[in-house]
Amino acid sequence: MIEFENVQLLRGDRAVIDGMSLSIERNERVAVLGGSGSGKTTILKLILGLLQADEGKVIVDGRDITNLKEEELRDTRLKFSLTFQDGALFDSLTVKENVAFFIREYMQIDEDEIEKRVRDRLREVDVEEAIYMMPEELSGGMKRRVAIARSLAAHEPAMFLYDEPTSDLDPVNAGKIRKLIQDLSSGGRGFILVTHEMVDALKVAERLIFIKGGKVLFDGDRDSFQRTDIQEIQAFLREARA
Amino acid sequence: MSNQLFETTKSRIADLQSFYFLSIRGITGIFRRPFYFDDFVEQMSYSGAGSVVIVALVSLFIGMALSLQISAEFAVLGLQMYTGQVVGISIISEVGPVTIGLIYAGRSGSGMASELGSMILRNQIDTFRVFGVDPIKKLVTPRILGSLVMLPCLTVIGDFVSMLGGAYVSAAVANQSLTVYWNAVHVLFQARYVVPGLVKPFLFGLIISCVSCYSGLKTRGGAVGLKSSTTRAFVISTIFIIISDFVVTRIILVFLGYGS
Repeated sequence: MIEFENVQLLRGDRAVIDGMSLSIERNERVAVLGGSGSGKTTILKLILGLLQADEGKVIVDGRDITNLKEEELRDTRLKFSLTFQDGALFDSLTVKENVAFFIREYMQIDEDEIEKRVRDRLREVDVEEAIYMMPEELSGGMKRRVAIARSLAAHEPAMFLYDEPTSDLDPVNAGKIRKLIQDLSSGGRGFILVTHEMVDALKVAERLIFIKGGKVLFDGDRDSFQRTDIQEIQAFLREARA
Repeated sequence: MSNQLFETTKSRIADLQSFYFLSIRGITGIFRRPFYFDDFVEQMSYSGAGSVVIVALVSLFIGMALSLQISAEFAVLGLQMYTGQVVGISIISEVGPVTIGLIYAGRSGSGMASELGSMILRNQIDTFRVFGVDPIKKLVTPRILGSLVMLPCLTVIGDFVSMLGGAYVSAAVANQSLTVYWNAVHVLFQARYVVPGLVKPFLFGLIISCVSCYSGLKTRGGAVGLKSSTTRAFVISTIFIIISDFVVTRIILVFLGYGS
């Protein structure tokens, strides 16, 4: 379980996260919505200890990770799979080498076995044909699918974290990514999807959290989200429908 | 005003502290598992082997220019037979290590800063961290170790090529006997000349790699930030090389009993 207890994160004088408290179960399908600069991605980085809160506590599976050192965070981080907005693939390596990167890091297995694992993972995300391509040759959607394959290759995450997985994608590719997100969570593994795409949130998530200025404005299910009278959300919904 | 000064000072001290920690972790990474041997070899190849041609070319012309200048001055005084010695001292103790250090900072150091900066901007460093891989151990340590090995090698190559250039000019332009030139150079193989020439490249390699990696990993703000961090890496490395060159020369000469 992930818990934020009155978390505050400052950037200069500005509070990126401002006294946020929330709790998310591992098997929940959560979408975090909000405009650009509202602090959505920061939430993911706090969960993984990539950023440290200035005040409050971030607790993962009962362990306070707020002030842990890099090496102490390793076990916590390996419970998650994070897919960055642009995929964050290593651009000097082929798709195969990208997916195999962390397999080589953690496992002593021969090349044939590595190739098999890589192909299995790429097949799982429907991008096996790109195995020998370079990241620059991939479309935005393919990059993100390869990034997901990479995150699955070396370990089995308990929960998925997605940072704007469908932004800048055409509707067909965005649909493929949404289906992949749903498929991967079918085994009871939850996800936190950070997005400003309303359609993503409404199609794949069961719980929606809307944030603005680093504060939670709404936290509830899809139906109550669409019925809420919070002005910021209504404006967001209007823009999404337009 | 005083508040702004306080904040700036605090920020500079925090920067210095992070630089110190990064350098220490990068250096101690040499002795801690896991060892990224392939990355170390790749760094040696890029920073070392990849710099040989430019180092040789620059060193050749520096040696030739020095020899030309010194032989012309010495001809007036009738001291041409000392040309090789003076060219050799200049190159081995000072000009060689400093010039090659600056070339290394410009080519390899800036490359390190821009590569790591680009990785920061594309979330690749965070990807390492998410997967439980220490980016300092994986990226910084091989660059430090590669520089510690390759910069001294490049300096030795550069020194040799410089003296070859000096010999060529001395013989072809100043009509001096090559035997006299090389005999004069041979006199240089004493601790007071050779030790500074061998110690400095290690120190410069350490400075360049630590400063460049730190600058790269501190990149913020897109393309403009990347430009700034690359420039900053070269400028700070240059300043540190020049200052430490003086300090090290002084320390070594005193240590060897030649300073007051």
